[in-house]
Amino acid sequence: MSRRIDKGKSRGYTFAGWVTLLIATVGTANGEALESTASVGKRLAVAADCVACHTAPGGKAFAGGYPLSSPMGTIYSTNITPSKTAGIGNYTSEQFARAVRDGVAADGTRLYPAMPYTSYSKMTDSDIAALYDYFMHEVTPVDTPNQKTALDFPFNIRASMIGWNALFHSKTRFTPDPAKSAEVNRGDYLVNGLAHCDTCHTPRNVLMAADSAKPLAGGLLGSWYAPNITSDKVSGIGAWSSDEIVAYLRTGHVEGKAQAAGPMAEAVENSLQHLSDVDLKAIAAFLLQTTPIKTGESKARHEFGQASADELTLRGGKPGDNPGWHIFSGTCANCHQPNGQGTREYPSLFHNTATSRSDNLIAAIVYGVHREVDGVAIDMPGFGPDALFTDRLNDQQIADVSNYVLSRYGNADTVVTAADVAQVRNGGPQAPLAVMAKFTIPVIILVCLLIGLGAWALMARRRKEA
Amino acid sequence: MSSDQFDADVVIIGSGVMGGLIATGLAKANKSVIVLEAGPRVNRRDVVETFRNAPVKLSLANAKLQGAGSPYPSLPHAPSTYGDYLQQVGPVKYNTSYLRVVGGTTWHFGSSLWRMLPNDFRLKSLYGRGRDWPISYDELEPYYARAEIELGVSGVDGQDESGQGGDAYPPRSIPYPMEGLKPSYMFKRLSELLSKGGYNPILEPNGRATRPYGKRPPCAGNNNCNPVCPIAAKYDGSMHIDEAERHGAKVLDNSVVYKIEAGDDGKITAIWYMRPDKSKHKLTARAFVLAAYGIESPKLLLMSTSEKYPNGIANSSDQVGRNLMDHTGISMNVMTKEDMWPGEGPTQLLVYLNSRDGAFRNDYPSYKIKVRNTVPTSQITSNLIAKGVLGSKLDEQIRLQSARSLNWAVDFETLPLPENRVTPSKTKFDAIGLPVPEIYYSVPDYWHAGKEKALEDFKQFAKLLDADIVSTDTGFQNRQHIMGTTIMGDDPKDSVVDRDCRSHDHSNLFIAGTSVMPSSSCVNPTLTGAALSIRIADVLVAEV
Amino acid sequence: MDTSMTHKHVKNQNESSAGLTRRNLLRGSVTLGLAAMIGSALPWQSVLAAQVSSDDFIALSQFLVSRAVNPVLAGRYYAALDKRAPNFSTNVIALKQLIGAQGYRHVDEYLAQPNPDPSLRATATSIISAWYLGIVGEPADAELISYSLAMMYQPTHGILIIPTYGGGPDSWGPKPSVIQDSTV
Repeated sequence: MSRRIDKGKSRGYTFAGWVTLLIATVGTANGEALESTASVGKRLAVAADCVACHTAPGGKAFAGGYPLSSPMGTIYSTNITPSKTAGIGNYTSEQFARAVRDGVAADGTRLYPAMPYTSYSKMTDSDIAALYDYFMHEVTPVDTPNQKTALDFPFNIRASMIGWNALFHSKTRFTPDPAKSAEVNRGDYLVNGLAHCDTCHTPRNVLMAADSAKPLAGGLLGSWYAPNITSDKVSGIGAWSSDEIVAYLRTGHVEGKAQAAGPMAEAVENSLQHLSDVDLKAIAAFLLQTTPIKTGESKARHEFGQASADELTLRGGKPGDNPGWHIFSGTCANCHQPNGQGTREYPSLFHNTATSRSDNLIAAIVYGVHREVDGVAIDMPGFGPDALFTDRLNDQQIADVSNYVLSRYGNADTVVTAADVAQVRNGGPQAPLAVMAKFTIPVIILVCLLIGLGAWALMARRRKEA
Repeated sequence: MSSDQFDADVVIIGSGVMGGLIATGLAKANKSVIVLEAGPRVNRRDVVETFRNAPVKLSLANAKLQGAGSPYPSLPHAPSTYGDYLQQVGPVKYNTSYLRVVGGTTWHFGSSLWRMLPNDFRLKSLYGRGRDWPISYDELEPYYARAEIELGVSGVDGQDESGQGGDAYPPRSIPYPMEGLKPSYMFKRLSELLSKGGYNPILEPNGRATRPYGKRPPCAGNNNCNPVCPIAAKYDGSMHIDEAERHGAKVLDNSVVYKIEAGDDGKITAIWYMRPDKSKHKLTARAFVLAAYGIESPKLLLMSTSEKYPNGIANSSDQVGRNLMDHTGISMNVMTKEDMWPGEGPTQLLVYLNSRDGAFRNDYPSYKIKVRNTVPTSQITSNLIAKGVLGSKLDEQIRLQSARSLNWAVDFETLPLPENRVTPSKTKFDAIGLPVPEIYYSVPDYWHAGKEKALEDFKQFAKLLDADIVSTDTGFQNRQHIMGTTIMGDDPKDSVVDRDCRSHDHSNLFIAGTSVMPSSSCVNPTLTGAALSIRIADVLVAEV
Repeated sequence: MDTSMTHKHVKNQNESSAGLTRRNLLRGSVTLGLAAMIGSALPWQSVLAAQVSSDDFIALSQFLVSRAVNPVLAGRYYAALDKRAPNFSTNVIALKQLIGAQGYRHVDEYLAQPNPDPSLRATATSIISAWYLGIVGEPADAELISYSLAMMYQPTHGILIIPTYGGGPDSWGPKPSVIQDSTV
């Protein structure tokens, strides 16, 4: 899901809180429109965006092998084509449902929550059945065997997931709230289930589970940040209209507000642009009635900044007069215009959520913005280490231009250092769990506790059933 | 990766598109490569800002300004060719310019990327003029295809590029790697009007991306191709240097090669280069590629004299430096009576090639007619103010002339004349003591005959456009397309390199680029040089 | 693509670095409107040259180019022009006086003068040239002060881009629409 679509270039991203994606390409078929005769199952697969993680770069669709780099090691996605030797060709529909919704493979192996089964768990029985049909009958079998995932000790003990699931996983399928409209319920189902927005947009606790006290209040995604999308008018998107939310999801762009980059650009490109109008409106309706959660912003993210007037004083001078402006003028203004105002095709830098906080701004500068919607490629080049040497910016230069942009067009209270840039480039702040993983003994104790808890939970269930 | 015996498998002199392509091909094949560049590295934002801040700016459309305002560095050891570096000693000024920076002259080229036509390879046999190539279009075609992919060419499939309005021509083994740029209103309107006179519009293939291509974004109409594309949508040689370096090639900038040495067996053994502090350094390699473009390459060969080679390296034929060609041209300015709006999108795209090929080449050269699409405002305004037009009339005229003043230019094929040549100066030297280039250029009656024909086309154009001709310039305009000075041929007695671009005299020396071309055609030569360079890389990968 | 010229209330964070010294000769308020020039009894305290207020130069500039001008740029242009022509400041004052005395409401009226004083006309031209081209001086010692803010790009604003600043991959193709096609 969090993967950059680019023609053949490698990058790192962070997914679901602490997991970083190593490689980021997809072969084809994601910018294509969903044909009107597409089956229910296919539509569900697009909404759930299975293809993004279950396809290796340059590989065949759904054949797995996509590496997700986590602080605990690399997790490889599996082959979910109906291949009988290498995929899920022998799965019954019950086994399929158990894997997708409860994170347990047919042979009892526990899946890591890099697979967002905690969200998919809400899928209704009929939806999971339709999805099963799609995978069994419409996906081409590919006999590529799975690449083994071997995380560092003690995380390679998959049984520890039993305990984790006991603590954090609910098997409750989606039940509509009778107090809410059908549209809002549909939105809830999409946001918290199928399209699993909560996986990125809800903050995670120390054990990398969703913090249920702050749903959709914003989550770190390694180099990127998935912002607060509750209905709060300042911290969230409460000031957006329904039409604006729909436009953002369908195109990745709303004039004077925001544009989707990084993992969100991929979500738009692979999945959201194909959703029906009804579904997009439902998502908007749901989001606009979520509990507003304040996360400390002083202003709505899209309200910062104004046009700059630096051309008046700095034009005709020397690069050293204002290094941040020199970079801005020679690199950014070519598209965003000399006063940051943008054009019909390029976003303005002020009144733009991208300049409201430093992390996404830095990530956009390092990685660029790439999405293909309706067959049209939106492409802002990146200026980080992968850029051509003639255009590359080092950490200090990115810090300088970020500070320039933030001070003129964005949140002027934010200051960026070269170290901040390096952190973004290296996949964002380190997960506490990864830090803890350095201290093996406490982690072993924790894992044993989880296994114990899991065993107790199993025994308790058996007693109940007896 | 190099052995104790050699500093590298291959040493490449020149870091432009040709050297960059070969360095990339070799590095990807795990050969050790050292690329030498006389000048410095530059980065894009500095060039763009220098351009914006320059009070006097380069302009292609105003030939008088060609000598001023280059945003590229001019260093004592690699002086800008926009100054007085080049010495002119012939009846016609060969006012060329090229860049001595990492990435080379393609930084500021317009990125027209053409294949020659099959007949262009046989000028002598077919039309009794100039020379034949030792190879044919068909032999070069697969390399044209690879060059188009490497450089990222966008073009319109299906055009008759011979200008006759017929079926797709010349034959191609691949479609264009990217679809062509959308034509602007002006291009569409001009095509419509000129078609009435039988002029077949052609949208030229070029190096501007039209979709994300590698690390390049698509062209966004910054209209500044010359002197620099601000967004890297337009191909330039530094992109291959970037790729070559990522695969392990080493680039030495600010390193001016001044001597090539050969051993007793005739193989090149070493090159010598100087740093800005005049310190001298030597490099050895198994093979050498000279890719310093058509003035510096022959100059270096001619400077490399020794007892055994009194006429310089690779010069037993006495052809090194000779046969200097360009696409010497003319231009006219017209004022239309309806708004056309030059300046939208790329700086050039629409051309007319009705006179690209035919029996007429017995009598006058092939030529291309093109229209400039640069935003003309600053020159228009300077001229108006100089004429005392001020006040509301100034605004009115700026708007009117910006919309209606068009510049048409012609590029003529030229012939390889031995008297047109580059030699190292015996009297003028640069800051590190190396001779500057001395150029003798002249233009024969053949060219003048072509000029007369093109002037008739100009008159026709003005009529069809219902436009007034404001001025015509027939003063031998230079197009900076340097060709011929290390000419290719089968006969070592009258050519410098063989059909593989290998020196006849030194089996491990290759010369890459447009200086090997035995004929110039009337189209920009970069793609031809690039195709030949890819061929050189293939040979080197197999041999070294 | 708004420029500061059309933004009358631009907040300029760096005004102090403009290099303009405010040498106020006039104590009264000097309005920026063209109407103020008409027959106003501008109290010229003294014709002791070289004492041109920034407001004077701004007002004169606005008259000559028929547009609002930015004060920061005015300071920069003034300094550059003054440096290169010894009679510049005197001529600025003289021009202002002339325009006031003759009651010119628009620069075209001034330009229509049958026998203009050549020195004043040269100064007026140099001011117009500076604002339009963004450049002051001859090629040998020219100084660039504005690029995107050069007024020469105003008459085609919204149709032609300023070179190096692109509109985007989809920004050309249809016929540029103008309010009215000029007929000559």
